[in-house]
Amino acid sequence: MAESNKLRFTLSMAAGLVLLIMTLYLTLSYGINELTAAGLIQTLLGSHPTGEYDVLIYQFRLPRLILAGLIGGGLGLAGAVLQGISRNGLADPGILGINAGAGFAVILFMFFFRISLGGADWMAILAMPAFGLVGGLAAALFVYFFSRENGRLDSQRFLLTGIALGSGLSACSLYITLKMNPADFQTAALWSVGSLSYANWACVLTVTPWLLLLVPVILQKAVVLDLFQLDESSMRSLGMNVEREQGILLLCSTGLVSACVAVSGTIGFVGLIVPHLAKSLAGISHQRILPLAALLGMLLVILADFMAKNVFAPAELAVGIMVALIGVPYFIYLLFKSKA
Amino acid sequence: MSNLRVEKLQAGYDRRLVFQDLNFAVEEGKITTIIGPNGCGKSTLLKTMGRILRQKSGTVYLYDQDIRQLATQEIAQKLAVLPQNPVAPAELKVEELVAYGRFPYFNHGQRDAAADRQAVEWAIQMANIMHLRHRELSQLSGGERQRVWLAMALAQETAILLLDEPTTYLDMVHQLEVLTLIKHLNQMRKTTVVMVLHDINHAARFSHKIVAMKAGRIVAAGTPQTIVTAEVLRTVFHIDARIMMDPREGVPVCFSYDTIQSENLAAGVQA
Repeated sequence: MAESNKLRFTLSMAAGLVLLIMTLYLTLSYGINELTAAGLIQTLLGSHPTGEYDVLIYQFRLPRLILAGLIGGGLGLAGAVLQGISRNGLADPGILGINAGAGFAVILFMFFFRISLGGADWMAILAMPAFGLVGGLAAALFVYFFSRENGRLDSQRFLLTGIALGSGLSACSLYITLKMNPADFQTAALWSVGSLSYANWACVLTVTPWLLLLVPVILQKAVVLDLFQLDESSMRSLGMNVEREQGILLLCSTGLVSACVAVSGTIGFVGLIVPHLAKSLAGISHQRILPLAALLGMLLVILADFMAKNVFAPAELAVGIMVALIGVPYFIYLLFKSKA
Repeated sequence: MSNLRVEKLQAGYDRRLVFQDLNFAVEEGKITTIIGPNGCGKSTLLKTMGRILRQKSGTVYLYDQDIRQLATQEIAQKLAVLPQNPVAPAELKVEELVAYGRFPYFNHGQRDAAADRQAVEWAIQMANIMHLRHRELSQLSGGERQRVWLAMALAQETAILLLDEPTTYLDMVHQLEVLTLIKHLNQMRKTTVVMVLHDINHAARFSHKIVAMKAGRIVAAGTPQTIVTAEVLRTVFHIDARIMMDPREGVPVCFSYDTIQSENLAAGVQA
């Protein structure tokens, strides 16, 4: 049986990678300007005779695609970690208020420093994730401490506190965006539903260090996440420092989410759907769940962004709305299933 | 000789204190059983000794070292605790759960694969669960599951084993199997065992030493012959126990008992 899980994991990873490559090709070539396969490859290799697509690919499609992938992977991974440490399949950075916390901090930042997301002020763009991180962490810590009882994390309360805090902070964000000037408001409104339309290389550069820093830590904690599925006494008996590990993992996942939120806005549901899919495909070992969740997250966000860009072209939907369109029914389905 | 002892220990939950000023030393290489009525503090003592529960004051010494000064992972190489109601995902394989017992030997993601495999193999054989190794936990009976959890604790390869009511919810045969396994382990590896049991006859038959607790205090401690007596059971459990010797095992057996209140009541009816 363990063998069959391993096999399913390998198959899922392979299928995911194939799908990912297909999506990559589709995203880069399809659009208002359509590229042929040869044209695309030539442009990517820098050997296109006229170089007429260089700007389109290098300035628009490629950074946006890479950003979508990074964010999807980060959110998927963070969701898997949060579901692991809370032992609750409904935990998700969006539901736990981490998105809203990071979002609120970034909106505050935008409000006081009056920068629009398209701006090229590098310092400001690089500083945004830090703000997001502070906001996200504050929210996560708040939820964490309010859901502890007798030294253990009450996973029901973890969710409820998160939902309450999340709605509160979203309301605050909305209030502040209403006080912005119309141009900033446009940006902030689009950003608050999660959008990649302002993606550029600066955004990619902003999230990458966070991912490079936090993803290895999380992957190394796969075994710890497995043990988190046991009861608290057993974890302690096995010599796990429960509080410390919980803290580290919460910090890492919040860091990931905050960095993502800072550049793309609050894309919800990725961290909810993706770990579930990963678990149903690869079993309960986090050594398999984590990489699969990252891969599926990439696939989901890239695909959703592709649809957001092209379904109503030339008008564009926010990618967050696209993901939510897929995510809400899935969430309701999960709620029903968990009741049964 | 004692490898685990507590001094002036005070422990409890929230504001409720279960015991205070408790002193107790576990005898190395022996099986010690704690008995006592519900709520007397036997589980709390076991949990505090196994650092599952943090004491309010006092000290637990593991090999003469204050347990709070030691890294929890280091403790897990010397002492394993089997809690009362352990929980694991239903889809987990038996073998996988037993392998979790090797977590104390993890070192920043590094592991000694050969030693791990050997320990898991030994634990699986010791607990007699070879035939279950590829099953999922959800497919096991209560008795099988308990042996699997015991195997996980065994895979930790500790010199000390603390067991909180290891026979609860098991039928007679499975109770005996688990206790025989523990006795065997003690004989083979000189493992120090401390367990909480409710069955006095099991305590008498499988322990070298019995500790009787009542209302947060240790009221008596000694060999089964000195503890399983009408007098001690009267003070500890408020029962009128009828004791005889089991000639085959050479241990006292409580073959029946009455509560002291109901006896008084019966006397009242007669009068």
